[in-house]
Amino acid sequence: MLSIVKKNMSYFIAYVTVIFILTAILRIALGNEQTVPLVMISGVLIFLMVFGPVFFNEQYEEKHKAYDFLDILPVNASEIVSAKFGIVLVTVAATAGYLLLLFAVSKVAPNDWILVRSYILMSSVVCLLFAALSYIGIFSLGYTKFAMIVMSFFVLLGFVPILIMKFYRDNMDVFIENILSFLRQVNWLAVIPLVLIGYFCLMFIAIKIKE
Amino acid sequence: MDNPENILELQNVKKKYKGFVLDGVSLSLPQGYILGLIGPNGAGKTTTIKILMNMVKRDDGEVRVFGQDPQKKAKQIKNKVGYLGEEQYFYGNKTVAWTGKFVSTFYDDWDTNTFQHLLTDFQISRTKKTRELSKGMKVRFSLALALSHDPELLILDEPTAGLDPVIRREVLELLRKKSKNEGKSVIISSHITDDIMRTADLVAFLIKGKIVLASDKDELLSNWKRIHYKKGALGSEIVNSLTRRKDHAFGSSGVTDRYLEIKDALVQGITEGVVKIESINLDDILISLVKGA
Repeated sequence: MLSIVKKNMSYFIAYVTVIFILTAILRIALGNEQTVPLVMISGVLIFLMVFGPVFFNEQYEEKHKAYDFLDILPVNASEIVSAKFGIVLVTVAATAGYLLLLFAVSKVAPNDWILVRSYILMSSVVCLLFAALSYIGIFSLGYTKFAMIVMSFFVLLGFVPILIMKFYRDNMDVFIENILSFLRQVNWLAVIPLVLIGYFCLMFIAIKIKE
Repeated sequence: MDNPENILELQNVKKKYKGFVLDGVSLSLPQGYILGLIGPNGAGKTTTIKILMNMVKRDDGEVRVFGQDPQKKAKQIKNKVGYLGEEQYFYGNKTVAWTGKFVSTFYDDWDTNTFQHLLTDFQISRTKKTRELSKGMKVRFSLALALSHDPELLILDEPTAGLDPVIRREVLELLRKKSKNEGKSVIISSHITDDIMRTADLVAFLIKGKIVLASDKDELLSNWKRIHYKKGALGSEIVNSLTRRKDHAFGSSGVTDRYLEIKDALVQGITEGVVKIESINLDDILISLVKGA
């Protein structure tokens, strides 16, 4: 299983290195006053950092018919799938930890810190679940088909801001305050274990599909 | 099932696809033997082999490889099996050396020295990327990978398809040696009957998803003969039992699958020169069976 982890790690390591350096540079360049934009960017970066490697890896696997190759070797589907899920989990945890540390050492007001922490954890959770669902989609439909679906999904996602603008045109402040209030109220000590349970359930489903 | 002398056993194995049915395949392979699985394209050879490797799930029936069910113990079974498929898949941008190292991590009994020797014997460059290997080289490389963990059983699906005659002969010779000198068991599927003729001890004909004939190869060839006869030289019972009957200028001919049984009845005709016996090959038997099916 270790060799599968090692083979899959290369894209993740490349992404993590670039993004860790990039966020550190941005933090220094923007200073403490620009915390909000940097936090927003960080959330997107977490997403990219997992999605890039997951999709690059799977495209590579499909191109080389890697699952046919692995199929003849003495390795269980559970080992292949858990290696992939494990890497994603470690990457998300490391990135969330790194970003939290990056903001923790800065002079962020205690009230803002709750939001920063919540936003980074929320991004990580969404990213984790989306990565798990992506593996399920790829194992069920194949990379090419699933990538098309995801692309269509992202195109549709582009309409969400338009819908938000339509419904909250006159009271955007209320909309933003609702989101901030939600982020402040999330009990992460309860949410994180639940998300992890959900993640492992999705991993189990992915194993069953791969078997 | 579970005969300890058999390395692998299939009992009434079924698999249904759209437009194809593997219909109750039963086979067994004793240790140290080479079993040739012969059949036309689309007969179900690859499906049968993939079921053995747990690459395809059977719908029904029982399968035992080393006494274990591949669906439950695939990892343990594959650890003792060398597999060579019709197509060879590798990470194309990785080198031969990297691929060998990667594959080695999965096997308990991988022997790096054997692998290195095989690469040298097969003249495969360690630094070449696998996508740069020719079809023949890929087959030889796959064979090197399949043999480097000293497998007890070799499962080969159309291993010589697309190979030139020199490499083909080389591969078959190697398999023969592995079986005779090291007691390895081999199951080899092919529609090229000449390959089976050269290597196999046992043969099984798979036609339209069914095993229509399974036998010791020499016994089979002793029983299947083409009989040429002049009109009236054979009794009607024998004539009616012949398949692929043809009439031509010099008489008639047909194929029998029970020569040893009717041999005595033919002696007189042979002595008088009105009956001639011709040996036939597996190709002829396959054609007879396909036409019969």
